[in-house]
Amino acid sequence: MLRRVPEEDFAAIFRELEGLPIIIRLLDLPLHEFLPSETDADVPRVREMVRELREVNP
Amino acid sequence: MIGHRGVRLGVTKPGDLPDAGGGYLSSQEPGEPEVKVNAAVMIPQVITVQELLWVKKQVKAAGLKIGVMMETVRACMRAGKLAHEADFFSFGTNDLTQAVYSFSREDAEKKFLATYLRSAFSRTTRSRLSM
Repeated sequence: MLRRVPEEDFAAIFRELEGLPIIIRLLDLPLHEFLPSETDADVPRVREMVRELREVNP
Repeated sequence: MIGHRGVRLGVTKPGDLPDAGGGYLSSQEPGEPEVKVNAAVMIPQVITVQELLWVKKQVKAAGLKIGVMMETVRACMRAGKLAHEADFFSFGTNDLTQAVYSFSREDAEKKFLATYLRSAFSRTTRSRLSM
């Protein structure tokens, strides 16, 4: 469902540009700032993702 | 800030990558007036040519140009090889600075940078970080 959102955004951007060049930077979020903490994540799938994406800064 | 992010998430969780522009390109409705697209995709956190080639296949299939974000030390060390495969480079100076200095911005700002900047022995650090 969320997938439609960027698609519609890009469609609008491309239409507006009429062939002018554009650079799309892929998202690279600082995950620790955007993901809920493991204890706050109450949906099991989300909790699993948080666990998978947790990083240790040596 | 370490490791499993940027292009590496694309490798471990494939399927979401070219959705940005490519998804739209393949989903243009018939009858809709054709929209010219002159787009490039910029790939964060690249470290190897093999990784770049893996992404490049998908980006090129979507008819887009590909750029490498030079923001790891290793990418800079391998710049010559990456340049053969990329259409352009962009320097991600935030992450690259952290990687070159081997400290995180959060720790530096909160814990020691202010002391360094007040002290006389960090004239070089000051000018390099342009603070």
